[in-house]
Amino acid sequence: MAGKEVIVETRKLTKIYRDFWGRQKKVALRALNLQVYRGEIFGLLGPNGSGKTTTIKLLLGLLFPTDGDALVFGQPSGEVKKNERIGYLPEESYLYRFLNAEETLDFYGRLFKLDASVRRERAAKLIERVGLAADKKRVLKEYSKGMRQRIGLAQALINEPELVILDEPTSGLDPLGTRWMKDLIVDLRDRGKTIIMCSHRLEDVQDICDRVAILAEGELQKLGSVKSLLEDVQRLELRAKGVQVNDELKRDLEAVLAKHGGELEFIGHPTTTLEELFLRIIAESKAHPGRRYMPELETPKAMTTPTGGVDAHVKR
Amino acid sequence: MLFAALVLPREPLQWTQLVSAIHLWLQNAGAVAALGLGIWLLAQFLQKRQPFTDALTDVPRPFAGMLANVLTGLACLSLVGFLLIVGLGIVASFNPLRLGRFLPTAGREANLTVGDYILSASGLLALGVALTPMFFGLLRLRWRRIWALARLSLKEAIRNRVVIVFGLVLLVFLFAGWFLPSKAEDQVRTYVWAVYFSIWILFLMLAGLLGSLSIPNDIKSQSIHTIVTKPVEKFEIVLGRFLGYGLLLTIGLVAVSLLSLVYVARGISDQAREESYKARVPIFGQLQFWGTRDPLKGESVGREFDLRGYISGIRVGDKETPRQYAIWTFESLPAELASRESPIRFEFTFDIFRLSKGEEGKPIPCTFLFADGSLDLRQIQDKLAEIQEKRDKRPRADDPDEDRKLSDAFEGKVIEDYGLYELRGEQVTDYHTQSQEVPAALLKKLAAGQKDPNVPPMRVWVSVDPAPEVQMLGAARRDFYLLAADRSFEVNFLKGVVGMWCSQMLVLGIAVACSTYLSGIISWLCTMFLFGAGLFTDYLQQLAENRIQGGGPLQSAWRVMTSRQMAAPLDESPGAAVMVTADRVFTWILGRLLNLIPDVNRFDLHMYVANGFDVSLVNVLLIDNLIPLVGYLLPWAILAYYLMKYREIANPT
Repeated sequence: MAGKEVIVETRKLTKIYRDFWGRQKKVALRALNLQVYRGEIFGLLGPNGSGKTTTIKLLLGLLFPTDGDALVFGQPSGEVKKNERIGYLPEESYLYRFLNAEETLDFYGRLFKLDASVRRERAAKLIERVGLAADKKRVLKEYSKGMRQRIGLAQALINEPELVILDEPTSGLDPLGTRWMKDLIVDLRDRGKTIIMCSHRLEDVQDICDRVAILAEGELQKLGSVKSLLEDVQRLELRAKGVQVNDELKRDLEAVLAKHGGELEFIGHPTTTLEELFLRIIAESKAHPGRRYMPELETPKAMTTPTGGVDAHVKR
Repeated sequence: MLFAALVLPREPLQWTQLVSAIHLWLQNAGAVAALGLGIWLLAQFLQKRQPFTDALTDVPRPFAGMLANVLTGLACLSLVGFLLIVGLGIVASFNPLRLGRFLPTAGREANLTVGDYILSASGLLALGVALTPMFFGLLRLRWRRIWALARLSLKEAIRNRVVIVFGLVLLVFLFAGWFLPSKAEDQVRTYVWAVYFSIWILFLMLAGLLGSLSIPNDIKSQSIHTIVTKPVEKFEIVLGRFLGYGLLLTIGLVAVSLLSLVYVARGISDQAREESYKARVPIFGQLQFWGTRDPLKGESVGREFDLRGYISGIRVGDKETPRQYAIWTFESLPAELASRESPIRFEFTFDIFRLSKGEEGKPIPCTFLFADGSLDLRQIQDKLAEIQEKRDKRPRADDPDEDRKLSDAFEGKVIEDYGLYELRGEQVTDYHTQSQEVPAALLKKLAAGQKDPNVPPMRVWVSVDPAPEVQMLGAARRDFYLLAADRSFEVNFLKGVVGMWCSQMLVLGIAVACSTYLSGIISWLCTMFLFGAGLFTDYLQQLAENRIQGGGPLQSAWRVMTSRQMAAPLDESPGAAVMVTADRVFTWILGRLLNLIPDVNRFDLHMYVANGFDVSLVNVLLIDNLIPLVGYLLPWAILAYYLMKYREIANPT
């Protein structure tokens, strides 16, 4: 990655939580070394308690490092001025629930050096962009989780930040919301923003992240591009079309692989992801309103139906 | 006229006391700062860190290192100063070389000692060191962000329906009439008291709760994460919260005060309105007595409430007993009064203590003698004799009107020549506000005659006239005054509210400062504890100075357990010695802690308003309320700045 501009860097970043008396309670992060480059989507992966959120909080200055350095735009994470170039979406959208969407964005806009006209213009655009135009006058306490996440993202973008930090951005969202969020993150990257996100939804990270760091027990386990990390050089994948799986094909393939020292593990038709299936179905349902799926009912043996049973099929 | 007297628990702070008050403030606030600095420096030393380097991140790089060294040196110097005084105190307790005279007086004495100067300088250094990093941090504050946060606080309180609490005051307006006495002489007093007390308690609770809960709630709900990750200085959050809630409380207070003013104005009778619905601007003199056993306190009649000293009258024909006087000395007379043409009004409210049975409510005759302040009693009596002689010989006319004109001309000449004015046989009624008018020429003469500024221009000598039955007259300093003007009650009512506003801001400030480190409920408890203790500062002061009869807590407990009299000395035993020593340690600690407790009674101005006395803008509101408020809140602001700056906003996850 030589030649790429480093936006975020941690050097032996360590965080130890202590009790009131200074006794060590937990090592949340141990000597983390990371670099995040301009224009990439960087994912922090790991199970609960692995140190993802701690890392983000250290980068934002919400926590102070016990040891090591956290630099954002080359400045220490405690430096307030750096926040002018950062947008942050917390895991839960902890916004003020007594404000409506417009007031929320106006309030956060006031914290930056934005003129009233610029604030209004940006707020209107962002509300439109996150799909809350119809609900912009409703107070946030009336919003659903997904709507709060959307307005949360809008507040993170009010200053048109260079670096966007997202803590579990798809948490609590339905598949449609998840897709919308992922598309928006990719769009932000395409506009030149740098994105750091942490998540334990692996498929989200796999879909959109350029590079990931995998943390466990506060320690960095793996770091690299998603492609390089997921690539299994011990195995070969082959795709074909126009043929049906049958015994002959299987035998032929086994023979070819054996000739090259390999062994056939699996042969079959590819499956799509559940997310893809869900999105396709929803798109179809919108394209064909009123169409519904009638599940095949098991008829009890003691009973007979007037039509002699129900077919499982799609009805219009 | 009914009874209206100004009884203050203590004198308001004066301009002349401001220097010693500043010294005291420097010593107290500086001691707290020095204590914090000492602990912090020790921690830095143990962790082998260069002090102040982390705190001076806002300072340009080339200067930061040098400034850190300078601040470390000054902090050490300050600590040395404090340690020097502590050492001096320990050595002085053994009394070699009368070192006690160098110890700080803590504002008790008018003259400052060497110890005062050392302590004040050390305090100033400690505060300076604490303020320097803060100063650079404050340069980064922006009004735009503070105002945004203040607006947020305001909206939050309004949308969470906090303002409904203001409506509770309406209950007082609706139902107070059921419980308040309807006696005309008490009406204004009780109405004002009821309204002030209900507003005071309501707003105080509100200020405490709003201030205590806001920041901890933001931290708990993590809403604060979305703020501190914007370019917002943490202290801006503190200021924004304080300003927002302060604004809300101010608007609420003004609205409720105006409503309550209408309630008071509508509710009182015409008689009460005539008597107390005003704001007198009094000029008080200094009271002393002549002919009594104690010239400062007068005679005691055994009343538990020893506000007033008494002078006794004499029986008719008694040539042996000397006449007793209550003397008010007026140190200065305003130029405006000296140039006035209309008569000057004096008002008084005295207590008549009857030594023999008499008619209920019957007044007693007294003499009021207005004289040049440079004259003593002998000189006055000589002059009076001379005047009487001339009076007897003055030309007279048969026509009464003509004779009155001659008499007036003669009395005017007496004032002009002698600077004396005597009112004999004035009927003084028990606990009623009465008045007398004195010719303007007298004050003009006295003011013009004042050559030496150290000699007071006027003294008023009050005595009980000889009567068949001896009665006593009780007077306090504020029972007699020159009425400089009568002002509007309405404006005075609102000026009294300013005192209430000060106490709310005090509570809000403490609560917000505490909440930067403590949880909401603990902040509220701390604030209320400090405020509650502040209500008893006079008693605590007595306790800290060992002026309470019966000794400290251990001695008192021992007396209760063994049923001993409070005044009886303890047996000389090792146990008693331990108790006395422990009480001394307790009172010493209490004396130090006392400096941290706000004197909240100073903000209670209802007695001025209720009794119809003007709340002075400069002397009461500015010097005695606003300046002490700022002086008390400033160290809290410094504390809040550092607590907020160095606290981790996020909780461990």
